[in-house]
Amino acid sequence: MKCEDFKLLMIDLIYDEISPDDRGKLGNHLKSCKSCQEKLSALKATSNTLKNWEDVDPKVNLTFVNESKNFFAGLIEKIRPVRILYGLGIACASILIILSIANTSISAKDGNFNLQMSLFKSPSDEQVNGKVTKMDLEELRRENINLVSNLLEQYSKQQRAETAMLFDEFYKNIEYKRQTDLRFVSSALQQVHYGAEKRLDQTDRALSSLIRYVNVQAQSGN
Amino acid sequence: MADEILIERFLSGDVSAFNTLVWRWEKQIYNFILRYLGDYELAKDAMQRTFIRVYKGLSKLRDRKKFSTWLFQIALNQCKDELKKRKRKHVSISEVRRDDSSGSREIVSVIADPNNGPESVTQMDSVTSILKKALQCIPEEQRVVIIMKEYHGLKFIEIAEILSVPLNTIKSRMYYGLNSLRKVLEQWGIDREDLGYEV
Repeated sequence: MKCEDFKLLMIDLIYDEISPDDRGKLGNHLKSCKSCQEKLSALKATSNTLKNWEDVDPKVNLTFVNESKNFFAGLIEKIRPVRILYGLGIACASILIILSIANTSISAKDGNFNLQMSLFKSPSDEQVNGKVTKMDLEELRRENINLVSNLLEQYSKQQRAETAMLFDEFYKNIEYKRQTDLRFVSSALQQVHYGAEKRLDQTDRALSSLIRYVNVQAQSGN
Repeated sequence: MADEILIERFLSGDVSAFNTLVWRWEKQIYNFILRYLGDYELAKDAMQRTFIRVYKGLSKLRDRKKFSTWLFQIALNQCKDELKKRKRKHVSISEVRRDDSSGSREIVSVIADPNNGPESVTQMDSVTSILKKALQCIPEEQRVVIIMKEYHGLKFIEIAEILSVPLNTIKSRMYYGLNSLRKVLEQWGIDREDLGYEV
C-alpha cells in the first residue's frame, strides 16, 4: 500500500472510527514512514486546535406558541383550500369585464354624456332611436303574417302526420282481427265438414247393414 | 425524554413538547451555524428560520429517529441560503494578513504569555476569532465536515447521510480540510504552540 492509501485511515484513527485490522496496517506503515508520521501529527494538532473553540450560548430561547386565530383569520384559512375556485371566479369576471369593455360605447350629445356597456353587441343608436315609418310597419305586418302562416302550416303538417299514423295503427288492428276471425271461421267450417262426413259415413254403414238384413230376411222368407 | 416521544406529542397538539425539542437543540444548531457563517447575528436569524422550518415540516418527517440528521440538513440549507443572500465572499488569506498582521501578532504575544490573568478571557476570544476566520478561509465543503465532526461529534457515516455524499468523500474532505486549516494558520504565522494545543 502507498502513503496515499493511508490518508483516510489516519482520519479514522484520529476520530477513533478505525477497525482493528486497519489500525494494524496503519501502525505497521507508520513504523517505517516518517512522512506519514508527520502528516498524522499535523492532523492531530489541527484537530486539537479546533477544540479550543467552545460553544456559545445563543441567549435566544425560542418559544413557539399556539396561535389563537380570530374569526376572520380562521375563515380565511378555511377559504384557502378553494383558492383555485377563487382564481377561476376572478378569471371569469375578467373575461366578462373584457367583453363588456369590448362592447363599450361612449357618446356625447346635446350636452349629455352616455356610456353604454354590455356583454353582447347591442343595436346601434340609430337603429333604436330612429323614427318608425309606415313602410317599417307594413314590413313588420308582412313578417308577422308570414310567421303565423308558417306556424299554421307546420301545425297542419304535424296534425296530418299524426292522423295518418293513427289511421295506420287502426287499420293494422282491424286487419289483424279480420285475419283472426277468418282463421276461426275456417277452422269451424272444417270441423263442421268433418262432422258431416262422419255422420254420412255412419248413415251409409247403417243403411248398408239394413239392406243386408232385409236381403237376408227376404232370402230366408223365400 | 427521547426526541421521538417529543415529536409524537407535538404532532398530537402539544406545542410545549416542540419547545422542549427546540431548547434541547438550540445551542447546538446555533453554534453549527455560527461556525459555518462566522457571524453571530446571521447565525441567530438562520437558527430561528431553521426551527420555523422544523415546526412547519415536522409532520412530514418519516423516520423520527433521523430527526437530528434532518435538523442538521435544514440548518445547513439555511446557511447556504444565507450565503447566497448576503453574497458573502471568503476572507482571503492575504486580506487577513493585511488587516490583522499586527493584530494577530499582538494576539499571539498575549496567548504566548500564560501569566496574563485578565487576558485569559481575551485569549479564548482571540483563539475563537482566529479559528472563526480560519474556517472561513477553507472551502465550504471541507468546513462543514470539520464543524460536524469536531464540534457535534457526528460519525462520518452520519455526516455522509446529512450531506448525501459517499463516506470516503467525507473522510477525504476531512483530511484536506484539516490540512487547509493548518496551512492557513501557518500562513498567518501562528505556530502550534501559540494556540496552546498539544501535539
